[in-house]
Amino acid sequence: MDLSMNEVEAQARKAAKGAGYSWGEADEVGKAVRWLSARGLDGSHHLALLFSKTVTPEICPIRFGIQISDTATNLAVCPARSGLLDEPMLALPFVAFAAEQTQQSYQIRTETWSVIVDAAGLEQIGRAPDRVDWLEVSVTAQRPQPLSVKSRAHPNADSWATLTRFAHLTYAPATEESRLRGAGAGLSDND
Amino acid sequence: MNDLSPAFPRRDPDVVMRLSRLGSLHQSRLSFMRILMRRMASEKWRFLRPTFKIDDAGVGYAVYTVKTQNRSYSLVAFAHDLAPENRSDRVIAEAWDATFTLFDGIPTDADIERLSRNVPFQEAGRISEKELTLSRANRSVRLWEHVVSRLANGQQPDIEQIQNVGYLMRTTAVYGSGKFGAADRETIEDRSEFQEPFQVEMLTVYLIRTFVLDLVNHMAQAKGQTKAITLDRHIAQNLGIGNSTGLGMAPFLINHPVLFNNWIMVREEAICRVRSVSAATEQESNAFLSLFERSKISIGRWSSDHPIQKERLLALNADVSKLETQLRAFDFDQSHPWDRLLDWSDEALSEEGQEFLNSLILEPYPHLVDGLSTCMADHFENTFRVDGSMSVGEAQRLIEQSFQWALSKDWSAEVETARAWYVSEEKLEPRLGERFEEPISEYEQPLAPARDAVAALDALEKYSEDDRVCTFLAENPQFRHTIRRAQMSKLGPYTEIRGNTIGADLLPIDMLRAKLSFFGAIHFDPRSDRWVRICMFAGAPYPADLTTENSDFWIYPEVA
Repeated sequence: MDLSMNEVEAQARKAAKGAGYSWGEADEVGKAVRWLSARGLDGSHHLALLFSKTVTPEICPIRFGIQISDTATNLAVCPARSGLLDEPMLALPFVAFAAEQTQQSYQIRTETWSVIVDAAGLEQIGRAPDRVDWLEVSVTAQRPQPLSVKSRAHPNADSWATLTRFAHLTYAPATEESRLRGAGAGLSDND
Repeated sequence: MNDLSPAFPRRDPDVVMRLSRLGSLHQSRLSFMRILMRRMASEKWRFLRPTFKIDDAGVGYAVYTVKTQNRSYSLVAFAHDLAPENRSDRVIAEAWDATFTLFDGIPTDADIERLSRNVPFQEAGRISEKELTLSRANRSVRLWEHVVSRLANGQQPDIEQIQNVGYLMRTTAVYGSGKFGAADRETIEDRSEFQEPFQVEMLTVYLIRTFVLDLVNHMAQAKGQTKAITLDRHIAQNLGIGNSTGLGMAPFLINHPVLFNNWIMVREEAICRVRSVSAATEQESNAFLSLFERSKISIGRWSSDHPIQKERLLALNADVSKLETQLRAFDFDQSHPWDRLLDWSDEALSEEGQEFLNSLILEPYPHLVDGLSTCMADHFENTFRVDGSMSVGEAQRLIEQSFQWALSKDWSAEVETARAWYVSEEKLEPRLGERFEEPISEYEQPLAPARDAVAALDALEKYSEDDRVCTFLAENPQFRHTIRRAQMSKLGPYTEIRGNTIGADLLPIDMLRAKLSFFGAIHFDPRSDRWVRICMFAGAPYPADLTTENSDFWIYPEVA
């Protein structure tokens, strides 16, 4: 698939709402998946995997990520640590958002995967696992290589279909009444 | 010499951002079409038509290329033979008289081939990063047939019929910004020609208008052969491109608070600057008076059958008469003449008349106004992050600043929440439904900032002023969008509409008009409370005639 970033963001946002997040959180998910996609990481895939599992708030990388971004100024003095976390890749953009706000560089550490990230770049060691027992975010003096930003996303058809399915849950089923009334038509167009 | 720092403050958002006033806005020299026309002329863009392969039945394609200082863009136009029963302006249509894309550069044969398999299908097709917009248009059947048969018979069309309709084709959508696979706005926003908002879309429509003129001449030629003549240049220049706009556009203003703020802020700043002019030169007052005369012609041609717009037009026409009387005796030599004129209008004119005048006084002052247009884009929205360290007290103050007017409303009354915005499964387009009559509440889009703000304030009450909003948001994620908006309101005073966007008395056309006025649309003709027809580029010189002399005031018809 060859998608614009706008399409990826819009789809992720709607899918997140469909998956039960609030609109405000869904906005963040859209931006997070766009951020990953713009850095050549398949955000749609990770989001689709997350939504395919039963995720409680405690192990949700989005809730954890939002908390990281919201408490960005704290990270300078106190590292943040999660417990069990699903699809930790989805927490990465929020650490980058914190980096944007504080102009700092952060290190994400897990048992098998670590990332240095700031507003302009990222460097990974290892592969992001499906699930981690813990994840730690702390300030680091290291700076990652700047990364050129991609303009297109290429998610696989299966993950996109999963997101479409969740996005669909935000659409109201059409009724004859809504067809006529909701869009406000009724007059002839042949004039 | 005029001082650039205005002596008068910008208008209060509680005045400017009311829905009825937003629904009374008029085009100005800051409108996107006019910005584009001035740029095309001053930068001497060149226009070519490398391909026009359309048969006698009106089926085929054409390419129009424009060369800017550094780049080329090409409108690829596909012409179709559409049966009348398939002609619909509604977004649910599946076939059109003509379909278009704006290509970034000059398309190869392979590009054209790819586009021919996609563009005619619009939403059901895919375009790529090489394309900037996707659009379609339908003929005005009554005018199209009249013009073709007249020209085919060697006669010019009837002027009255031309003026009654105003366009040969109307677009029913112009998609940009990454829709249906097109290039994202972010990939082109650094180009100087696209610095102001919607320049790509306006360029698309301008080129469509040129294509439509060529097509109508071509069809007349095919029908009348040697008898046929081409459309008179003057008549052609008065024709615009119609546009039929539905609800899809309304949520845009709510979903892009910073962008909308920038549009309003720039216009308000321009009004202030002109208000602050201490002495008007004779040249400036004459320019104003001459454009006022020309505006009267345009307003005279504006008609609508919709009861609300009919009433507004009556008021506008009465305003124009009052203004005429006022101007006859007006002393332009007094100090701060524009401020005095606007002060008078606040008392004497309806909102239609006031906003018409606010736009018109900007005309003699390009040096005070035009430079502001670079501030109309928004480069912050995508990177805006919620500041979790903000105190609850500050969040409360920000919300109250934008929504003071909403606090006294009884949000438990059905009349205040009678409507709900939702997206239909059928066409994935925004719609407005009756919350208490249709099963739509659970699908509601976050397009009721005022209701949500009042609810958020209620929830914030339970927290101490010194608590941080991250604590509040962790426990109340349903208010995250409200806190985000409140924080965005720090970026400008006009981010929030001061009106209920889900009330029983909501007129979505007010929101449509606000946006369309910034495009530079005129002759708003609502077809219902949520669907409006307009005219774009009427009066604009065609590419072959475009000069710096005629690129500015074309929107005002010449006095005969």
